[in-house]
Amino acid sequence: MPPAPDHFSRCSDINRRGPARLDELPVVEELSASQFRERMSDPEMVVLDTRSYHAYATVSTSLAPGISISMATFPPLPAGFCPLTKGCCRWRMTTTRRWKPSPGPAGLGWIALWVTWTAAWAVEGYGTRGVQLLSARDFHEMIAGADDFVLVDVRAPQE
Amino acid sequence: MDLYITAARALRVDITHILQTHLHADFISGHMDLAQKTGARIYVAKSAKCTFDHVPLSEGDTIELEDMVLQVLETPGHAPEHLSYVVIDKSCSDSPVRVFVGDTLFVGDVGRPDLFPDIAQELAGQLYHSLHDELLQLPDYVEVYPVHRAGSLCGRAIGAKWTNTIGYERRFNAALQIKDKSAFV
Repeated sequence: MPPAPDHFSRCSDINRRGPARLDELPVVEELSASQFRERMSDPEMVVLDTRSYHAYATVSTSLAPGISISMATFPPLPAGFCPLTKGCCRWRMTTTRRWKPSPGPAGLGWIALWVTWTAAWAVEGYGTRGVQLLSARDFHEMIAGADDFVLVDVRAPQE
Repeated sequence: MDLYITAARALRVDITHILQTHLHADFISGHMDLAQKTGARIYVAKSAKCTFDHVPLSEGDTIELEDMVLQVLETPGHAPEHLSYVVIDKSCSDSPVRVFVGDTLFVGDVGRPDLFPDIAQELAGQLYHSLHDELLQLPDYVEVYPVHRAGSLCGRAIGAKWTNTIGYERRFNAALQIKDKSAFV
């Protein structure tokens, strides 16, 4: 069995004391992309991205013959970050512009939602990054193809 | 927590009791929020030594809810303060019909006793007694309601089902086939 995650050593005691109620916690402050970027410029600011692993994925997709796009799913920014020296606060970046999906081909609503996710940062012209996702088929073609291919598995032993 | 409130509203019932099986190590419980929103009292093992307002429970205590009686079993092993709740539906009979086992017993597995490494051996021995001398003393037809199913680190290979019966677990749960305590530990 994998060892218990780090938080296991603390949760029991927190539950024994009675955890703080949600309405007692600091209210999440919404920031625009520019405000977020300004906070990030503070050298004492440490960014903790609380999103799931999959939130970093970049997917290339074809909307129509001859039209393909690649969408980064994160600017080098997170959903929440925490100052080391000022107690524990959390912020959430808000989008400055939103696109509503219009009726169209199946899947367009999903794409529009995804665009919204990175919209605020991207619309401001700030850079974005992502981790390229491969489909199982693409991956198979890579390892079975004629080109030399070296697979480096960087997962932890527990995975 | 809102899930509980929404479910209660859908059933048109009030939440009056918050029963804790143990002090969960894998997440922060919402019992304080739920108690505030519903006015329900929190019931938890006396041995847990909780410092918030609660009703302490020990082996043999009972809680009455209309036609139902919940009997408290102390089932340490996965956690030192672990409780299970045996349900008797008095509108049917005086026999137990269900048991809420927390993380002591799962569908196809038992709770890990090694989440507190300093006392893992001691907890493993307690878990053996909790399983064989407490839960497996219940009739085969008693329905088992664990906290987790597959995917939780609180077990090793938990099944995908939410519930089962004592009889099925007695027969097919691999950990329960180990009759020798030292081998089990």
